[in-house]
Amino acid sequence: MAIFTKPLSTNVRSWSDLDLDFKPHPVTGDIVVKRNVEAIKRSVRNLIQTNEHERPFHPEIGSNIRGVLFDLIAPTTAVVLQSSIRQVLNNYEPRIKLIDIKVVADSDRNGYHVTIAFEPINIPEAVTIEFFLERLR
Amino acid sequence: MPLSDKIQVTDLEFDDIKSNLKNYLSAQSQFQDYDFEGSGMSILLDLLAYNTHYMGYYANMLGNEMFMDSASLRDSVVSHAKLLGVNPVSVKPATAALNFTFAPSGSPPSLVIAKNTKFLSKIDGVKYRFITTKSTLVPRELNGTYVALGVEIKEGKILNKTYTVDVNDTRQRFIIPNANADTDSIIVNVQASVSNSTLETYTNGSALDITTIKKTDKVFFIQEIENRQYELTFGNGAIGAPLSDGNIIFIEYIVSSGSIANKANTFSATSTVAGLSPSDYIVTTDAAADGGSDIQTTESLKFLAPKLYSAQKRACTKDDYKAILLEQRTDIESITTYGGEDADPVQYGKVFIAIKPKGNNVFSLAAKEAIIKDIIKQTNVVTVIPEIVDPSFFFLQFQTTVNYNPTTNLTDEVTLKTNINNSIQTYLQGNIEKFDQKFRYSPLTKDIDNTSSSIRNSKTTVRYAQRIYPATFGVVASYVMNFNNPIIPGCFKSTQFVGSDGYTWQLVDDTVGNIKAVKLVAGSTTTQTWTEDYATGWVHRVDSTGTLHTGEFHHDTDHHDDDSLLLDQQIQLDGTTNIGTVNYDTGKVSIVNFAPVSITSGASYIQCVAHPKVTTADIAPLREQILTYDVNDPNSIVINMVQETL
Repeated sequence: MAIFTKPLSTNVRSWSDLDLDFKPHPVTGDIVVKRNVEAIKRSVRNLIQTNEHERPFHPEIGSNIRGVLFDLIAPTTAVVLQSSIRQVLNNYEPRIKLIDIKVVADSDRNGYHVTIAFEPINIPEAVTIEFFLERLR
Repeated sequence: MPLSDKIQVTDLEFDDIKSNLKNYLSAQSQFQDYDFEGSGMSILLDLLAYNTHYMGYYANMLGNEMFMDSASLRDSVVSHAKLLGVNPVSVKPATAALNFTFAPSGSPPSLVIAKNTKFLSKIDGVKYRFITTKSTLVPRELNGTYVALGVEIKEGKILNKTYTVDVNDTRQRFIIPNANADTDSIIVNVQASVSNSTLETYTNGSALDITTIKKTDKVFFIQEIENRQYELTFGNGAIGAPLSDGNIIFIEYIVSSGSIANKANTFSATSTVAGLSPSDYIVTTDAAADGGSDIQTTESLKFLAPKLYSAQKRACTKDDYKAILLEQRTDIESITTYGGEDADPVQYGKVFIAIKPKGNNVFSLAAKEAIIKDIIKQTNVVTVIPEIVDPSFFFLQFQTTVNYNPTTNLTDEVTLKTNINNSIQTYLQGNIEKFDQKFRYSPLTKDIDNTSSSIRNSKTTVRYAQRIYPATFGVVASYVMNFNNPIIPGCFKSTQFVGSDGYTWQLVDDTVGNIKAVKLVAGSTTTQTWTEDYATGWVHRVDSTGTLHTGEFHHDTDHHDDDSLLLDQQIQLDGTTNIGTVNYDTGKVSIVNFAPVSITSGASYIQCVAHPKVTTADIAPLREQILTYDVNDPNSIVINMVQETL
């Protein structure tokens, strides 16, 4: 687990992160900064899309969903995906309180609709992320 | 951006570097998410820390390889050794000698055993090729026979490599493209050009004193390069003659398997020998294959190079002899040297070198002569006479009584006993069996006790044994054994041997300092059971009338049945019955005028056992002694298991 250099309380710190797309700001030309809820959303997506053994010296970080996407489309596979996502977020994203994770198989498109609802700490409103997971060859 | 006022740059581990970067970033407010593993900042920090760690490791390795002490790559160590004037020793082929008796048709004046005549020998089912490295002329004897004695063959294969010198190619190198080449076997001939077939043989300049090489001398130099290969370099016009454009270099060398072919002793030719088929000659082995060794290891080179530099190719001190011999002969397992002033008896003006070869107990006579002639005589002080002595093996016999708790023993008694035996052997193999290595009592008992948690305690006693190897049976010779510690009077005895009268005899001491040979009846001394009770008394003794009694346990208060224990003692030529003397305080046993005809057990040695006064003492080997144990001797490690449930 991460060792924090500062407490998690938003009274002390706000959330701000690099946008790994490295797109320049249309006006200033600086790198765009993701702030607060947007920063957390990006972090959640990064964690889910990271495979174990991908990060140097930290093989434990990641969700391993890529391998699962190559399994047969079935309700059990959706449960496995749901479990993997829950585990990685519980372990590595301390800024959120998970409300629900929905994974719905879409056999026509060979993928899964994923909806994650969470509440950022110290911000009493639910935030939802939706995305479609499909395998890439 | 405000920065942290403390920047830690000495850490090398990935996690420490990343932590430092986080600390550095904690002083700014623009990007706050570096703490969270899913953030983009964290991924960026991973990359930065990984790169820093990578560069730190690289710099560390680079620093290590710059010094011989810390270098781990062979190429680096070889390069450092080169600066000290030391080249690693290459693989050396095992060498054997064969005797031939030829019976050719007709009566030719002579036969020639050609160079590169091939022979095969098998060791453990694996075939090894041996070759002659020079041709041998076998003249017809006066009685019409053709005999060649001691024809030398070496294990390996002769290979050739040719280069044409191109002076315009500044990157041209003359490399022997084999890792297992014997540098001593390299022969270099240089042809002037394609059109000029004048051939000149070059000599190995690495073996010469550099100050004696003139600008016209035809010499080459050998150096090890990457991948354990060798590169030849030639003179530059100041030291040795330079090569010319168009010269053709013919390199011949032997590639060998090294030490693995030692001890090969049966050879058969793969084709004709001197043009004759096997039915026309008889071949016998004069000397089994010996002297083969592997390429010098990196560890050995790191150890020896500074010492060789210190010795400056001159053997003056004891360490000089060791360093020079270990460098020249990689088939040496252990070596020690001592001056004649430390010998017994004192022999001033001599230096004694005791050597144990790898995979064997002693060097052959030829190998010892070669070491003296080719190595020591080239380097030692002229007034000092070097002498190579064989190691003297001092066998230790262990008797251990182990008390153990059977309820906490997770295995059965037999397995526990085997494990204890393995513990003892592991300790002995790692701590003795080389020159100058002492036996230390307490670490052994600690290893025994640590074998299993079910062992409550153990008591170990150590006895001594040494062996007499009669060079020729029936010929009088003298032997000295040093047990180095006080021994109990009346406890010295030998294994059985046959005397000149055909009876079976045994050496014993008489408790007053003499060694006597006593005659055995029906295989045991005076038909009585030989009782060994070293804890309470003597095995044999002399009574008040001067009569030697042996064969049964005696002590001061138990003089029973003495008359039936009278023994015949061997009468020497001078009328005495003493075969030698024993000093119980120093443990020195001298046996003189001893001439056994044969050895009862069929072994090549007579084993003499002595019981020390203190059986729990450390033992230091003396001079050429090596402490060891005989795994095949049932008395070597005796373990008594005692169950203790309380």
